[in-house]
Amino acid sequence: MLGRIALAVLAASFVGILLGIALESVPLLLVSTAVGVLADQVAGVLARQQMRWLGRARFGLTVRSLLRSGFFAAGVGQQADFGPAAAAAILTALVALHVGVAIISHFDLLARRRVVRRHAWRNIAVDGEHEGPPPFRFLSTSELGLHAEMTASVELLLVLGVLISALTGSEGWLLVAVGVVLLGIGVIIVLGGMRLASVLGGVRTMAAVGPRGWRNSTAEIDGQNATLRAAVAKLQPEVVVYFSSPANGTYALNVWLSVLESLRERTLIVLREGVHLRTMLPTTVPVIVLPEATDLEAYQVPSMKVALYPTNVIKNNHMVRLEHMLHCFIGHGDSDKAGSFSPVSRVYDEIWVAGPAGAERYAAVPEGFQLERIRSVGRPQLDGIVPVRERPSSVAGMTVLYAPTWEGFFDESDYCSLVGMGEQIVSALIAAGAVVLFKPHPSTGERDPADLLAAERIAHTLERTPGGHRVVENAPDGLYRAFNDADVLITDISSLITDFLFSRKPYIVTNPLGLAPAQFAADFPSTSAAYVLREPVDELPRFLRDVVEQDSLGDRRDVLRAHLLGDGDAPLERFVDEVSGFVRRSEDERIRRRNAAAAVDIEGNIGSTIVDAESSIVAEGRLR
Amino acid sequence: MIRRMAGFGLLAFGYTSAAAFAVLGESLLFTVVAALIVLAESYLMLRVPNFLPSFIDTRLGLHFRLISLDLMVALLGSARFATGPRVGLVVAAVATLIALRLTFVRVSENLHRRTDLSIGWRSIPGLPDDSPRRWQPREAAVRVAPLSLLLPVGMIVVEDADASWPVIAAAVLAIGALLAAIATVLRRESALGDITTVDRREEVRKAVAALQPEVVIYFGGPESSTHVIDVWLPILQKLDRQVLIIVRDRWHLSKMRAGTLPALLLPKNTDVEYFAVPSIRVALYPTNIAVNNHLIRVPGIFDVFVGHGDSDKGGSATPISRIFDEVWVAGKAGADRYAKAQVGVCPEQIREVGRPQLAEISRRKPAALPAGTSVPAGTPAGTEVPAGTAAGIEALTTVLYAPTWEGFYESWSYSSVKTMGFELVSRLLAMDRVRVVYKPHPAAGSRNAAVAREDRRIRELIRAAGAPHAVVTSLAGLYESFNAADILVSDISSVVTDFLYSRKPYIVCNPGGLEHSVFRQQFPSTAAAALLDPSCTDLAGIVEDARGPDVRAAARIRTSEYLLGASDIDPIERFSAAIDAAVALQNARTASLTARPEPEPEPVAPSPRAHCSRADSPARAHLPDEG
Repeated sequence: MLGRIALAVLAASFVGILLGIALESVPLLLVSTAVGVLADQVAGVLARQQMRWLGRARFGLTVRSLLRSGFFAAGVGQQADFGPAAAAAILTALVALHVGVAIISHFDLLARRRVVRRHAWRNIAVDGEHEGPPPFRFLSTSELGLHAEMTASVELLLVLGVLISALTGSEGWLLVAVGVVLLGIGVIIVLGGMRLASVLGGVRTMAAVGPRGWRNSTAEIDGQNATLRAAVAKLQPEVVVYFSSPANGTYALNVWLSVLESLRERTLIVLREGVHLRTMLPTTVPVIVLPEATDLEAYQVPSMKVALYPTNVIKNNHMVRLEHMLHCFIGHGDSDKAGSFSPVSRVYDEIWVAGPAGAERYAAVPEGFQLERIRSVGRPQLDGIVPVRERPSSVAGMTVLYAPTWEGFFDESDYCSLVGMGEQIVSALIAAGAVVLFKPHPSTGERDPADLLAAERIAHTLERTPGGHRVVENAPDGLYRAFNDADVLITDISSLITDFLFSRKPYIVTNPLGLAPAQFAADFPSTSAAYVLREPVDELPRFLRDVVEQDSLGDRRDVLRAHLLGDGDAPLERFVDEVSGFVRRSEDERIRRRNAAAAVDIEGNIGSTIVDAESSIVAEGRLR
Repeated sequence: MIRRMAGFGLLAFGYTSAAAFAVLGESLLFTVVAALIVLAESYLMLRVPNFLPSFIDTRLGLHFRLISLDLMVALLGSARFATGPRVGLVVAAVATLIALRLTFVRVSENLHRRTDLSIGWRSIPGLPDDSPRRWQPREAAVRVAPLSLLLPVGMIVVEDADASWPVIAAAVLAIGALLAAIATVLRRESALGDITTVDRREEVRKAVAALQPEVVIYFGGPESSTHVIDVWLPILQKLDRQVLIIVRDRWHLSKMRAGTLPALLLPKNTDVEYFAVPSIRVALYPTNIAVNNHLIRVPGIFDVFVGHGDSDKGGSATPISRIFDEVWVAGKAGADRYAKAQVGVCPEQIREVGRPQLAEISRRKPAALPAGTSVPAGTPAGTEVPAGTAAGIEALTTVLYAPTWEGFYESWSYSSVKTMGFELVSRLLAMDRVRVVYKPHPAAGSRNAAVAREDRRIRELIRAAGAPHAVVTSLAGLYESFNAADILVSDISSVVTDFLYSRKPYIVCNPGGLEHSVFRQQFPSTAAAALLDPSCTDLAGIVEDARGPDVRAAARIRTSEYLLGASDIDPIERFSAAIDAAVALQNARTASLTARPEPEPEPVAPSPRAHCSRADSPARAHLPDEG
């Protein structure tokens, strides 16, 4: 609301300025200009979105200020008391302002180019610093940054100068105001230049490399980075985890961090984009940021045996091209998605999947994958889940986790059971004497508020009902702890099913859309060992009794679990072993390749050609 | 550079003096300067791209400058009339003009967005060739900028008439013209109806699909690299399968060698996915650019790295090559290089296909030099070889001296121009029945003044010797020069490897004076060459042997076959056969996909076998049967 008012005042101020000129009214001109300047600042804070829109319509702050001060100058020039000298002085101040802002922007651009090429690090001792380099503060030329402040100050100073001049009848005050503007801008440029010099390696370096070098030379960066390179070499990392993704994709690295901390080998995380440092979960694993493709080569040390890739992005090529190590695509989470079939994955020495199901996906596409390169390694992230084989003793007192998914981005993928079945399920569970744990998806209600309302009603019901029911908190390990607390899971179609399968416990999957059983099974293979619950939820008590009395789906769960997640109950240990095995294979492969290379006798092939040539020359010579 | 600085200076001076005249109320002078500014802005924008330093252009861009000019008109009005309704009139007119120009730019941008497909094509039946031009909204702004001159012109007239009507007339005229311009753009946009860019892209895609292309050659890179795709075009032209060229950067579409092969310019990765029509079986990649991935990740296409030019270089075998289904090399030497590099590319992924580009090189006796490209000594550049001399030349031995240039990275000692060239050519000229043809490298001397100097001396020497000796100055025409020669004298470079295809005698300069055995081991292409040491003393003997007993003839065939592949097969046929094989492999893959009812949930056991065996290679036999 306040933003709208500011916008209206801003618009009115322009009308006021034009009226001030038409009516030859100095007070109106001065008041309108000053109000316009202030309204611009206020609207910039309160009506960001509209201001952005104005900017796209080429009516941004610079143009607005230009128009305001241009008309202001015209209005002042019109006054008999002032005349051409005043208008010229105002114009001088405006030219200084805009040229000054252009220079400051350029300084920032030069600094930014340089700063994005700096190599950052975490958890590595570099000259005693475990984190670096210190962040660089830009002069900031964003809509409300330094340049907005400069513009507003200059405009207000000019208004003030004209005001005092008009009151005192002396043009001298306006000239003083213009003098202050020129001096201020000069000081800002000098200070900005010094800040820039600090990131470009000092005035002396700047003088040495020349203006062209400010753009391109990395000489002084290389100096800073040499120390970091030495520190990495000293670290002797054997495993490199290479990560590159768009800024919002850091989760693909985060799912691996705790696993990486358990590896036996010295591990180094290489980030290609510094932005992930901000969104990464805390870790003790050493991290470096290497923005340029050539940096990877520069930081490759002989101790590096393998590289692991959680994402399949084009920038991986920069690392995969490095020799003397093996490269493995490890993905992130259960990669049922199209991206994991990409023929591009042929470039890796190995591709790791959780279980045979993942390997089959590669076998199913005729894209020239070498199937020996695909290994099932389990899902180490599930290590916090405790597998249980014993059946619960009775339905009464049994703990049931109800964890519905959210409504999804599209209607077609809306498998959420909350609105239609949620409350029925919870009442049936309470009636059966079970203890209910409720864990709605964190995104619930983002597309359809009805789901959020249903979730809130369920939470309310559980709160009021005695019997130890509770809503599971939204902590990072909250879900897996709830898995461990529960005897049975009730959920919707989602990746959660695969994770829960690891617990070996029974699970019930809802079918809120009422799909035909055959189609449901075909579309969602992860339900092949599930009780499928349709609306109304009459069958739920029977399912719970079966869990206690027979667990008739137990064998099918074992098969499905092995198919999706591989064998074994200690996936972290298994993964740690797999990495060690991979490192050993890399060492073997290094030797094998060296021997194979030695066996190729290019010199021999050429040599025999030469010998032939020489001998025939000799022979010809004798004949002659 | 000079034009850019002149443009910058002109604008700085123009705007400053316009401001001064506006403040002083000089209508006539202001109008003259303003007209100059408008002219200069239009000319510079269209003719001198990026004439302003980027930091000025982003902050003080064209819009900023044109609005400043309009505001100066308001300033001029206030200075000119001081009081009275005319100031208000001028200021209101200026404000309206600025608002309308911004509107005009906005609607022009909308129209552009609705008509620009951002892709390009050529030689696609049913579609006129089209290449996107980098359109800038400032073009729209500058087109209506002259309307800003009307008001000041009105003010000049006022000076004499002392009345308001000229200003009113000027304002009405300018505003009317802008409104008309806006209306025109809006009408053009509504004439488009419901046809969106999506529809028009779909049309292009249909035309491409109708061609049923089976083979794609896929290319991108800096402007200077277009020749890399050019060398492939004549060969692809001769295939009996439909070929489609896909380039990723706009300059290649216009710079590429003319031809009838259909070509698409696809700047975005999503474009590649969209236009990869299902008939495509095989994709050929001449370079190792990262954006190759955009087509490689499209399933159902057999991806082949074909490389470009001489494959003698070490850098061409990289682990990235594993991303391809196959890597094609010229001969055994290429396969050996991959085996030696051990970057994880399996032997069965390597296919020897010869170098079809060399098909232009003849193994017969000399033909005529490239027409119009040779300069007989003693005559000015550009003159053709007199037709009558051809008969006489046949009796001579033509020695082609085609040295390399000083190079970016390699030590200049590869090039013989500086240390051996003059001596070498002098000795050749002194020989009996020898005709010297000098073909300097197009870049020779560009990085080293001493090389440039020697190059000039050699040209002088040949010019002084007179006909029939010649200097070939055309950029192309290397293979034609090969065909005109009996013997080649060259340096370590792709020239030597290419010439081997002709099986004619060749001499390689050893300007570093290396031990011969070391030199030959380092450079396989010299195995069958006569090596020439810096003193050039052996030259006469070597040339004598080449025209006489030619003791290296057998060695040349061996070396040629090792480097360039078996030479008894027609190179185009051989390449065509390789394409057929790749298409067949892809067809088999596609068939395996459609034949399989449902992926069997049979576990695929990781096998301890060594790294190399592909799903469709014979080694596939040991894997679980997929039915």
